[in-house]
Amino acid sequence: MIRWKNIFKGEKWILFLLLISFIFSFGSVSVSADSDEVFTVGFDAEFPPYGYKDENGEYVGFDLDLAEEVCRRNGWKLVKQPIDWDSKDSELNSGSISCIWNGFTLNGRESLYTWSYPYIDNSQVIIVKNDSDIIKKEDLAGCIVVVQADSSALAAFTGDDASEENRELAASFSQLQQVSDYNNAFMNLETGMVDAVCMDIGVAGYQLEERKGKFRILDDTVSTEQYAIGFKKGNTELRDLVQESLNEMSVDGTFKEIAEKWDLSDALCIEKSIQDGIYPGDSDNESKSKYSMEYILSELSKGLAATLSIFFLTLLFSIPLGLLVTFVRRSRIGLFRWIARIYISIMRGTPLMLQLLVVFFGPYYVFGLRMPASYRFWAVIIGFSLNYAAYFAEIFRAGIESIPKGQYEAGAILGYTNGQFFRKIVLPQMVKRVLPPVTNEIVTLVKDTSLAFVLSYMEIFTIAKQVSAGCASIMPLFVAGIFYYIFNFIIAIIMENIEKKLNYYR
Amino acid sequence: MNLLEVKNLRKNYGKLEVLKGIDITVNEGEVVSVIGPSGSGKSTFLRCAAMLEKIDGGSISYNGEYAVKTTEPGYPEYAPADELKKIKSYFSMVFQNFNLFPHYTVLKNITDAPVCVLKQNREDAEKNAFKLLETVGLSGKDKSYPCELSGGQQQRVAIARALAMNPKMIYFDEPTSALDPEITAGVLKILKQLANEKKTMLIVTHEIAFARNISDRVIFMDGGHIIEEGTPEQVIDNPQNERTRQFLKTLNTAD
Repeated sequence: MIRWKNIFKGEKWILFLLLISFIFSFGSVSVSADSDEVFTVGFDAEFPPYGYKDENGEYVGFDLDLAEEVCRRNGWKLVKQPIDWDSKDSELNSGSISCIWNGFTLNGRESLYTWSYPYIDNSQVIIVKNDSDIIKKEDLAGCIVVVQADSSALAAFTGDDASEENRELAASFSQLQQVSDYNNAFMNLETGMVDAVCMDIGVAGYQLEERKGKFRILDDTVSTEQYAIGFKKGNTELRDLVQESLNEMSVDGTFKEIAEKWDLSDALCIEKSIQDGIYPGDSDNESKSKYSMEYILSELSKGLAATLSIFFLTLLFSIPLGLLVTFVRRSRIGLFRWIARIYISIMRGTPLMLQLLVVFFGPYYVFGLRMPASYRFWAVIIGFSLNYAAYFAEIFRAGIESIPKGQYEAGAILGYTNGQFFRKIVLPQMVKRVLPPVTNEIVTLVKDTSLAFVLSYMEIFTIAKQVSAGCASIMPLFVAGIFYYIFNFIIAIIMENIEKKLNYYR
Repeated sequence: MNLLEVKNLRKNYGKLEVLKGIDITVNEGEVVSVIGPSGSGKSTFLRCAAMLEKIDGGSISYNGEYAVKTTEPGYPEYAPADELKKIKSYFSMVFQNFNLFPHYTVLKNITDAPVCVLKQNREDAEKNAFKLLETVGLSGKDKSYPCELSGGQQQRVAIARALAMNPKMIYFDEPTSALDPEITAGVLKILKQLANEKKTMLIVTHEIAFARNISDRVIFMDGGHIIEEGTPEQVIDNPQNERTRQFLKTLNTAD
């Protein structure tokens, strides 16, 4: 039926690289507009069986099959647009996608979208490692539990409509961690960084099949929820067209056929919904944000310390490390020079995001080491420092090499030792010369701290994305943008002043 | 004893032979000028003697101490690091482009090496520096940075810096070539003054009139060889070799 399990039969590290390459596989869809009417489905490409990339590189899944059928019936051209889940509202509101159709939980989001009838009834389940002691929900007390950012599992624990029982359960956890996708969640679970993952039952069944034997599902479930198609608030016209086709498909049995193909028949609830004939959320007329600016600011400020510590610690480590790499790069020993060159080449030639993932998950997948929970933070710092050191090294090298040869000769004639000469003559001049490019790097670093979201480290941008997804507004992202701008503005002023201070000579 | 003794000095840049066996001696208190057309190897000779360039053959000794000698042809051997360090302290050098340290004041340029390398007491070094600044006519410029000085002034600071190391001998590598003609006079005046004080100097220069005026001995180099050597009167006024005559003639027509 679904045949990409053979991919996962390779060595652990191959799996690891594959998973990472999956994470970078967003946004590779080309849009052709042959037909007049284009129907663009926005979906999380890592949400099997509803929508994902198969071993042939095709986007497939239950929801995409349904969408295909709806398009066929309406004579539309289907465009499958994988989206970053946290950005789904911006995608929808800007019109770059027609709808979100991706095992999309409506509970708790009733007022935020215009909904189709719910067609899947799903539950949240808890997954632990096979050898875990956790048997019941109660055993989760004091554990680290991970959920996908803005997932129904998260809503079930902390959402406005969360039941008292679920809230209490969540409160018993030592930590409720959010990650950006399920691959990441399973890597966290497998490496022992977290104790349990909470996710949709349909997804869980699929994921466990793929990861045979390593994990198990607890008998206790967390909450019940329903999936429907989310359209932009107020776009009832398109919703009605799509719903009409879905109704037809339900009557003539096509719907059921597709559900069987994907092994989801048990969760199907489309017939009942059609009978009920109630569109979720249609009774509220306006979608008013329950999230005030005050709330946004207070949430973002929780990430402030994290962002600042990434920034300052990275500078603290990467600048001396960069200088060290420069020395090695300029060493008289050819082997050392080559090591430094290769290091710089890799650090500059691969995405920082990938490097962060390798630093975080590498110790387990390559060496089988279980790192403590605090490693999440240190992985961010190590990843950033290693990366920035490479850039600083090249800047420093350029600075050192720009000192005229004549000064070296004067130093040699005057009898300075190499160490004295570097410290007294080269270094002070180098600092002045490299200041403009170093300022560039520092400003870039401020913005790059946001990449820590791939390790779900709760800095400002990660929080902004989550709050933004939660309140279906881009305001939190905008506020985060203002923060980065102000931060950089201050840095620019400071660096300008330092440059002025050093301007006493030319 | 000769202060500097160079024997059969050879230097190649790749396959290009730049110095083809140079023999030069400089005695204490002597002023020697090296003249010759561009590409004659005179600057390379000076840089080899000052050990800024590694040589390919021959020997260099200061005060009878070998800095480098060649026993097996093609493999010149330099003295061990500590001996070399001592030998290097016998001489200093003034460059065509001054090569002052731009981030140091004039005073610091002059005193830093004496304090740092010779381990002089800072106060003594500064007292000496003020005296040297007076000698080169730059009293009151001690707090200036090199970028605030004219080329001539910078070169005079460079001379003071060289003198502050208290060398037995100073090399001058075309000390006025980077200067405007009207300000070379100030620098030349200081060199003359040093010559009168019996400082040992080896000067590579294009200023023929100056060379005649200041030198005890003039050496004419061309094509990596020494062509003629003698008193200024012998070499400049009565050159015996055709190439020397040709060189001096072109200079005169150029003027």
